[in-house]
Amino acid sequence: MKDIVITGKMIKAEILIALGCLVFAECLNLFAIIKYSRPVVELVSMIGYVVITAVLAYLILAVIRLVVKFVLWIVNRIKK
Amino acid sequence: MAGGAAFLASTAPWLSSCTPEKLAEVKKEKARVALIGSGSRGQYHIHNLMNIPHAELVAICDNYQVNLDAALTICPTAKGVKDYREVLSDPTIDGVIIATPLYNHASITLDAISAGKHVFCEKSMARTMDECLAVYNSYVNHNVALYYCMQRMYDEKYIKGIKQIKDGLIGDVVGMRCHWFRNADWRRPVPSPELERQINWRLYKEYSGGLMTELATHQLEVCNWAAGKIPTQVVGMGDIVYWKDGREVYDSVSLTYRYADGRKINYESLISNKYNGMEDQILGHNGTVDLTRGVYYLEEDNMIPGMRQLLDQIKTKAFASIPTAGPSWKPELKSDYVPHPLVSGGISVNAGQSMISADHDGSDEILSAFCQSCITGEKADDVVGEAYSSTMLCLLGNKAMEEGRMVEFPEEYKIPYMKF
Repeated sequence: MKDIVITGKMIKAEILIALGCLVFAECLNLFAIIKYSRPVVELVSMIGYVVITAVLAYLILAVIRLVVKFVLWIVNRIKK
Repeated sequence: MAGGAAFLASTAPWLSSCTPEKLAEVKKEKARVALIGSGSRGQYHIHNLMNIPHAELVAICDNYQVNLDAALTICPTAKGVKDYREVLSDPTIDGVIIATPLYNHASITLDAISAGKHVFCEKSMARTMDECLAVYNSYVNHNVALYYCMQRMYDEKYIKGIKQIKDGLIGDVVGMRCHWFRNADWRRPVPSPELERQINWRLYKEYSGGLMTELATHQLEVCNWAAGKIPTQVVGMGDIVYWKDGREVYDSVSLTYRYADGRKINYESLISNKYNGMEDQILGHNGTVDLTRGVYYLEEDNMIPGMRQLLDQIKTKAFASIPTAGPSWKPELKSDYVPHPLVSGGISVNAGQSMISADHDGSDEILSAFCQSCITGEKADDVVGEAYSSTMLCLLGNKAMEEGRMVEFPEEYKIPYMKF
């Protein structure tokens, strides 16, 4: 069986993407607070929604990244 | 139950006779009361009376021995009596609780008032409009307290809901929508055929106004309370659709009551399908209050967190149903409104399938208020006016359905309490 090596670089990249998703979700929350004239405290009180949105964004992004990787792998194989 | 004279005066004036301060003044005294009519509802009142510290049930009266025995088992210290006149002639009794079939309400109430007893009577007020007027006039001319078990008037979620409606929570009240659906034949077991009408009195017009006087009366009272007015016209249709078992009263009614300003109550009751349960909805141009559940819904709901509103909007756009009749038409399905509670903390909600043993629906509070009045002699404001108005509307509804025409509120039955 072939060993799968997860490098530090890969972990760092995943952490950065996850953090990016969290920032994106919190930005959405900020946008919603401004759009619907809600109290600023929702930046904190809606953290549950923010985390769930971030996880969803991360998963969607993961699917997109897998698809892109798969397409690139096919293209490379055809080129060879 | 409530604080502030302004609050009482504006929303529920009847509560001013039973404030906690007034209750504290009579806490060492007991109202000596008698129960007339010891069927299921009467027995329910016995249980409530036994939990009221300022009440003492001294006599139970019923001409049906089975019910009398059952009631005396619950409260063995009470004296059993067969004729209610015996109770009325007892000078040691302060007040009577009448839980008899509807057709007896007026005669017993009139006798009790004449005997100087304070009276607590089950709804509705009476079987006929003339009886209602006679009771009202008798009440006005005697110095006794008279209560009708319109328990919603003492139910916290209703009181606070109406207060918030009057404070503008849902904007202008533009209509009311009430219904009461059950799926049961409304029959009680009859030990022998000659007792059919005595036990299943609700099913016969001679004794009962059917769904209107048994159920609708509560809901119409709430509508008038919210509107601050009484409807002037009613149209409706009633039928025996499913329970064709020899009964005379409708098992399906649908009515529209119209106020002078054009607002309407849409009322429906059916006892062969319970999907919709019981609801008392007050519709405003900014929102809807469902008093039965103690919640309100806003048309433009700014109370929902922004993030949730945004996600709901994204979800709606992403999963919107595909127009089935071209791009110009989309079914206007009911939106997902978010319920907001009218009352903080837990409340008791009854689905309306049986009110006999409903917990905390105001029945215990109104009975306690009555016992307080038995001690103090203070009348509760507006209770009789509200009961009179809603009973009259029920009887007019029945008239409209039976005659198949629009019925106007008759001039001769208007009382000073009513605003049209």
